[in-house]
Amino acid sequence: MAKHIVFFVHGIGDEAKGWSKGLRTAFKTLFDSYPLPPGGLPFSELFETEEIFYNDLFDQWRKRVAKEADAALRLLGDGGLASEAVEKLLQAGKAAGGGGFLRTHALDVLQYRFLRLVADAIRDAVQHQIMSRLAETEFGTPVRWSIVAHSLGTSVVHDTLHAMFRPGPGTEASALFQPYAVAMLANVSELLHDRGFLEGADAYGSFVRPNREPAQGACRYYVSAANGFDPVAIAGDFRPPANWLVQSARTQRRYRPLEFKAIPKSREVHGFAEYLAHPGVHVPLFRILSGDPDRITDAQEDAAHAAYRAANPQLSAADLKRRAIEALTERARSQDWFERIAVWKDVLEQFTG
Amino acid sequence: MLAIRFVCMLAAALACAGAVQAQAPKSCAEQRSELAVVAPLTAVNRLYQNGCLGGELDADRFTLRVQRLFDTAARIEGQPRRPQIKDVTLSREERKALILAVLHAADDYLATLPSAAGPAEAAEVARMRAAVRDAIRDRGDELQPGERSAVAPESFWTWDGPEPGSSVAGIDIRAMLSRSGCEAVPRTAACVATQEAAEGLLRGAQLVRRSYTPLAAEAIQAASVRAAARDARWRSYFADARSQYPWELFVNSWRYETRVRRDRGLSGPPDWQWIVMHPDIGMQYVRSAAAGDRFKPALILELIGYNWWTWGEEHKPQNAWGVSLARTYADTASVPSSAWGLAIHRSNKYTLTLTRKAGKTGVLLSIDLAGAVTTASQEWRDRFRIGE
Repeated sequence: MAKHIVFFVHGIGDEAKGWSKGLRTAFKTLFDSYPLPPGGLPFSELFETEEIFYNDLFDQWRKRVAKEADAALRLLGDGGLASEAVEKLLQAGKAAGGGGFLRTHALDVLQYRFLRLVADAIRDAVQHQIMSRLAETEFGTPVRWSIVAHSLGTSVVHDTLHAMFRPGPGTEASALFQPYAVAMLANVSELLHDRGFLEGADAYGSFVRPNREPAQGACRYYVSAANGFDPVAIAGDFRPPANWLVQSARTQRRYRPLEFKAIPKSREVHGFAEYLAHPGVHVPLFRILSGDPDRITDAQEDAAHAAYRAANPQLSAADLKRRAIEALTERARSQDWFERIAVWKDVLEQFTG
Repeated sequence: MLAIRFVCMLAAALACAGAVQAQAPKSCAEQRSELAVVAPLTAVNRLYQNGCLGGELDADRFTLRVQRLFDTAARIEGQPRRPQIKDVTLSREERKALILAVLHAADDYLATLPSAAGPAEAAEVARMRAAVRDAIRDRGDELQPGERSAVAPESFWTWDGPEPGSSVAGIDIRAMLSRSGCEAVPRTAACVATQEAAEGLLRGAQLVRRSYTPLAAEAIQAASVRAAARDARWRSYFADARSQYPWELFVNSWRYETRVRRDRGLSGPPDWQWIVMHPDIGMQYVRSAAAGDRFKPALILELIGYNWWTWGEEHKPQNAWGVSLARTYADTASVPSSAWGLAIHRSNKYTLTLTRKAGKTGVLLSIDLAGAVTTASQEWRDRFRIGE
């Protein structure tokens, strides 16, 4: 049987190829942990999962130029340059390839947002990985696919789908392989939108919205999850206006905002796995992905919430870690880009794995 | 990792609340038997989602006929046993014949549906058959240029499940079952007939939907090839074109954006780059200089320049040329240590810089030194050192 393909897209960080192996295994385990309903099939008979990886494109150019600048500096030796200005340029090139948060995290966000060459290369890489996998589908069976994206990955997925499926010459025939569900966890697609790329629109004005008709929207279902304790999700503040959905899409509940407030035991309020582990996220997501709203009963959902609360007891209001998280959530509302980056840094350093 | 551990804990907790999922694959007959205890709408949906109504697991003879058509079409090109979209290439005529054969199978199937459920269901079957015949007519005729196809899109034949307002081929399955009071178990005789009619309509719609798959396969394959080509070029752009310092990438991104702003879809990388304040190193030769100054290592600062190429079949830059206004620096006594010059780039690898100062002509050659130099011996590094 042709299976529903679910792609996982990472956010920022030092992700390497194979980054999603543990995450996808956990996702499957979680799905299969719910009792099999009558006539239901297990995960392995319904889904195949695939990872999307684009982090190497952030690193490629800066590592190359750093290598060349470093080679030049090493050739010429300390203080051996005829021009101080040129030395500074070479030092700047070398510095681009260094490690640390600024290069591996903040610079990634800034590159994606402000360097169109890098952003388009990433969008193409994502499209290529999706299409290569769809081309593996068995001939004669309708293609069904969905995407689960996290953090910066939500912006990448948004832009890629917009570029792929916005009707017009040069885009793809979405009527024949429209994605089924797009799940955005800690959605920053509006925060990082590029008006140049979207021709003057923002993420709410783009083609990425749920609609049964491929000519009206880039996906059938759209899920946006936000943890009220996650400063990145707060900064992302994805709240589409009322006219974002047409009436039929509203009736058919094609957009599902999933808001919850939880500090997981790991304290990783922004973690990809932590988002998926929360029943407020995975229960609706499993129901949508399986196309079966009755697959998980309300009683089972309640039991999952109780189990989550037992495994992740909430911190008291006086707890220092909780106060630190709450302080970050306050700062996350800043409109200043430097402050946003600083908050992102603190979140990633303190509250993700 | 803690989240992943939590998943295991949750699995254990939920296992107490119900049976742990069985791993053996279930046939459609087994599923159907299990579904006798659940509400008809849920049962119909699970059969549909699990490929038992016109899908790959369905043992219905019309579905099997359609499957044989796809299997045969896939073998035309001598493809492997389990053909994938990327393996199957059909001519236009073959594709058209396949689509029509599948549509005819769907129509034949709908003709067999019993009318026991009642006049309302019979009317829905008649409506779906009319739509299928429209599709057959449309697919059988060659459209004239500018003429719009009357065939409904694939989404028209797709059912998204029992959510309110969801329909397939204009038929609201939920409403259809509800009209017959077919909402709970145990089922009445009328409910059984209505559920069978609903299943029949969904199977018919799914068979029609599958008639779109040759078109989808063609579109997916073409999109995949285009995306692969663009991706390969992007990777080559960053790896094989001249390296770019952060400020150069910023300038080139800005220029690129102004050029592609009005394009739809993804444009692929440019076949050019501006060179701005780009430092480099090379060996300078000045014939008229004193013996010790004739052949010296030098710095080159390209102030502004432009590099261009064409994309080759392997998605690598070909026939690349570039030119820059440059300033050079070398540790020389008999000739001026700095000079203005013109740098000419070839193949994104070689740079020849010609300088002129105080009537003396200098020639600098730079070859992509970085890779070699990072592994060069200390002796060679010492030879390059300026000012020591």
